[in-house]
Amino acid sequence: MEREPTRKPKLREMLEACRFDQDDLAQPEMRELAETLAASPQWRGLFERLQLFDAAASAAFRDVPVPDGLQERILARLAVEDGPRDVANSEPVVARNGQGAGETPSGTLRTSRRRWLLAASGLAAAAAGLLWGVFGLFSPVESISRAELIAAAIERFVNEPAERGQVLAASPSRFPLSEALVALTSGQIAVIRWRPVNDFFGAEVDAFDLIGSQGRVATVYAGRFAVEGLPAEVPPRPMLSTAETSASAWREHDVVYVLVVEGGDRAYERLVGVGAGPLA
Amino acid sequence: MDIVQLVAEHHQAVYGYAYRLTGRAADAEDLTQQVFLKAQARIGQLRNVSSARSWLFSILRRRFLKMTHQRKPIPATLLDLNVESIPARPPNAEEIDREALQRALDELPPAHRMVVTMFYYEQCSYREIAEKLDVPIGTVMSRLARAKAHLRATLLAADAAGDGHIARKRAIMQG
Repeated sequence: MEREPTRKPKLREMLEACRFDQDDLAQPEMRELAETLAASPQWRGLFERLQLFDAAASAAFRDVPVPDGLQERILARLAVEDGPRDVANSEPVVARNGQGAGETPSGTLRTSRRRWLLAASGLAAAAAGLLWGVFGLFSPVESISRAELIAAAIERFVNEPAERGQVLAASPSRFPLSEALVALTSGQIAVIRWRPVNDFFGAEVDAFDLIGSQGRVATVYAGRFAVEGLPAEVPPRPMLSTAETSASAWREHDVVYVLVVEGGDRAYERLVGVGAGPLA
Repeated sequence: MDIVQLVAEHHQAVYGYAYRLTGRAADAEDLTQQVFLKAQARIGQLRNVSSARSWLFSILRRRFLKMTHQRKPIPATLLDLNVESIPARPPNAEEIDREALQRALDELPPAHRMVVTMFYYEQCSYREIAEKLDVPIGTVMSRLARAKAHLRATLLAADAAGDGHIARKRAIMQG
């Protein structure tokens, strides 16, 4: 290799920046490199090796395994951000169904938003609003999808300040804590604290913080919501996970519970007893 | 194009880019979600569907640069400019140790990590990088050269420490 050119930092920088598949060498600022390559077989050899290395590195850079369920989690997060506004518009949604072909631009926007809400939840969302008026089973809270409910709980869990609630035994909670959950988590929870949450999809709910030896392990939100498709017992596996939380929902009698666990799927399964097998 | 379509078509590429920049799966996923949240809020700005990926990448770069929880990088002044680290026989893509690659990236200062990721992952030319980051061409060339040399040196060191896994992989692949 010729010693002189390699001592010129600018020339070495040009060499590194140049891509053979583009017209980089034709650019005025690359003229010195183009001349050097034309004059020096050693530099051409170096350039060719570098291009081969760059091609391999590019392929390696793009080889990133994508975690399972990422798309669903992104859509669920988007639903959380925009969902409450859509829920707030649930009456116009019902009215729109009868409008027929004359869809307005804002109607198109709402339809689009609705589309991703459906995609996020994986459920047929709406109709519950109608069921609501017909059956009047619950307190007057907007109908929501299961995914919206869980995603909202996760959002609250992640962002709410770590306020200290009252010890459960002395609390004036409005809803009972799920006895099934208490039984499943016994031995892992040091204390359960209660606190009221006054605006959860426009409803009042109770939050029960499950505290372990290292701090909060999970929070259970209990309230009355018009949500379809909920199981009648604590789900053994989470229904929705983010990078750092996992959550599920179920209904016992007329109370809906949403459990948000600190940690991924395994943390959830460990808490409710699924992953608590014998140690290897 | 609506947001569902945007997520379906580009979430993998955005995640891959975010992973290379952040070096942690959890951070990459959070960053990916932030990108699509921003995209959702500004989807009206997307005029040309064919430039959707480039648009998402530009959101990602801005979000990444705003992140403050970067690990301690190598000071830029310690990065060598060394073309001698170009191996006599460059490896194939399969032969590059992915963990060592990410480790080397994580060690770079964010500005260097950004340009080398734009070069390798996004396939940008040095001119495009300069334009997109709004920095002089000479700065891009300097950062790129040092970042690439650091990656190569780390990969070669990893190979040497790993008892020449590139050579072993070659032997396996050649039967």
